[in-house]
Amino acid sequence: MNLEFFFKPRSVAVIGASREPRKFGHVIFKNFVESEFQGKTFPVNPKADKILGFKAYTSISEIQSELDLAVIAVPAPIVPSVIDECVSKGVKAAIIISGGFKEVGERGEKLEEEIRKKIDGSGMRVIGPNCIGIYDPTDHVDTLFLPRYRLRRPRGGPIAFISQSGAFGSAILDWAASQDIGISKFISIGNKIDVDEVDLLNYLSDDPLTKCIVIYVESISRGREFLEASSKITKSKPLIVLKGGVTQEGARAAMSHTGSLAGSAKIYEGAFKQSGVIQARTVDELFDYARALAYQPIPKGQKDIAIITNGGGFGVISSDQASKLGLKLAHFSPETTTKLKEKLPDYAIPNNPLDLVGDADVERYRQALDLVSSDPNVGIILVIVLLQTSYIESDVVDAITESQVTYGKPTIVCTIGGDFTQILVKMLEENRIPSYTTPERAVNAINALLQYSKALEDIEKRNM
Amino acid sequence: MRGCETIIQKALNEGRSFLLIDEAELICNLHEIPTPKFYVASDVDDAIAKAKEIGFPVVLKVISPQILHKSDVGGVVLNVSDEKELKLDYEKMVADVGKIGPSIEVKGIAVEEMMPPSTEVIIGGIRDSQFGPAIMFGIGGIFTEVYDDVAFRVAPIDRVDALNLIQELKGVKILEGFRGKPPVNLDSIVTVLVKVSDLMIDHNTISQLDLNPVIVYPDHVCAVDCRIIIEQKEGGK
Repeated sequence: MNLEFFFKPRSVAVIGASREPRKFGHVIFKNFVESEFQGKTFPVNPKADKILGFKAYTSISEIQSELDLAVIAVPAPIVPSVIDECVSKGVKAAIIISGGFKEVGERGEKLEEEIRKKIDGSGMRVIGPNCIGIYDPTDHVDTLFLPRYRLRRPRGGPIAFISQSGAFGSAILDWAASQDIGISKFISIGNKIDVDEVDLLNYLSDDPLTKCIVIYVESISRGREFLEASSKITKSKPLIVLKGGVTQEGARAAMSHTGSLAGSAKIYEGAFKQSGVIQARTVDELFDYARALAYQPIPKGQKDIAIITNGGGFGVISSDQASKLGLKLAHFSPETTTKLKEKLPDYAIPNNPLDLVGDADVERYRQALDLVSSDPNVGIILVIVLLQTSYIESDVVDAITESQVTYGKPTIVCTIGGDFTQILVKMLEENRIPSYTTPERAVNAINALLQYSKALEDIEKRNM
Repeated sequence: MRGCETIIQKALNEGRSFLLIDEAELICNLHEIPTPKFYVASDVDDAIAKAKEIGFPVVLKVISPQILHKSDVGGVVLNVSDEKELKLDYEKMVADVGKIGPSIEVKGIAVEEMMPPSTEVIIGGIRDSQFGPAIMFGIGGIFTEVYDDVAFRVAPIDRVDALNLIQELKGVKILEGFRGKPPVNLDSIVTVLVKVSDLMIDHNTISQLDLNPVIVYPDHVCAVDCRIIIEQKEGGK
């Protein structure tokens, strides 16, 4: 069954909605009531008459209207009976926020088994348990039990984010909000009793708001289905995975040499590569790559990189990192070189990296961007702009954005600095130009663009 | 492939967990994976006759259902150059292997064509608990042993996957021609990788497989040793 009811429910019951402001059930109910959520909301709590002014129900069976979504935040031992009620009520989708299941050992595992039996064949889909559920800024579904003053919600945007860990997910969301990074949907999948990453990938592949998907997982439950789903989705949307929990399967009976060399990490790596998945190795890389892939066009044909900088050192480090990754810097055409000589002061040498020198102003950037972007030898542009000099004003953001839009070439920015820089970084982010604080991160992001470009080329080769 | 499954089932019925070298090489041949010319000799005179047919130098390998790691027990002799040497090596091999214990049963000695030396690679197959059948590729010697320079793909793979798998290795430069050596034929490695992938998909009774080494030449490749580990599967094809 479709997962639509999780993201576009017409009615929601919060089971375990509490009057106590710090309780999870209270925060979740409040999220629905105080947001622009369009559906009906019902608090379920046998001990209360009213919650936040809404009539509280003893159980969901008392609720007259149909229920699309139940959000369950009651102690683990009670969850099976709540699930029973949900199934008999005909609830379409349930999110079990509660912890105290598989993650705490045998007793919790038994509870999970009990729930699994109840939902099998019921037609009700379940996310969780042991998760923080969903945040959808478009339809205002927000089951995060963390108050908004502590965890800011990111704005809407092109990146879907799936996290097995709720704590990891919520911390990243808060950070994403602070960086003005937009999210299409966030889903925390917890113990994956029913809905897992494969289901969500299949759902998100048809979601028009999602341009790029980011996943943090510790285990992939259905390897071959994951491979199939990711191979399909990466044809149209980049998928970036951070796989935590590198386990050494030393226990594998190693009668063969191959068996002794086969660590699970290596097989995951191979599986990701063959299905066009970009593997992030660090938390930083996860969103570094996602922003480049979600905001910028994917390089096609010409892929050589031009580096434009107003700081020599950053240019050198970028070019070092590019060569370390085996990426090629562009040779400017003779025409470009001649024109650069004409336009730039004598002390700026028209090489790549192109050092515009410390006194470069926005006009010099504009001219350089124009000439370099129109050069057919250039496929990708890395703009390093250090904003500490008094020559550069905020309209450098317009210059970079305009050249990107005019020439359509993937453009990545590297800049680092304090408050003034941060303002410009947010303007860039708003214009969907990803910026990075170090040359290494910027070049790694370019590498991710190139990896995805190669994956798309492989797909074409297969179709030939 | 039916012939292959018959070989595997026979071994399983005999309670074996791996195939004899001649069985393994036959399975390779049935799947069009090139191996050296080989014959099974029942005694030393037979071995000499087979060696003459193949042409010296040859390789001798012991065939025993109790011996998986042949070279550890003196069960492999390379580069046997003539009749006299073969006689000595043959008798020594039977004697060495006999020393392991009374339970060791020698079914014969495989006499194989000795392939000239060249760059060696390793191609393998395993079944992973998450992803099922998977294919491994590595470059022989220190690249695999010391630098762990091996990479995997989940089966089935196509030629695009196979080429990416090869090019992913740090040691790929060795294959592309290095210090005056001619480049090897990547295309024929790709073919073997795809064949091994098919083999792992076709026979779920094969749990692990090593082609180690596969010797690669400028125009072809040859899997000079092969190990196939098997296990009974309920409802297996």
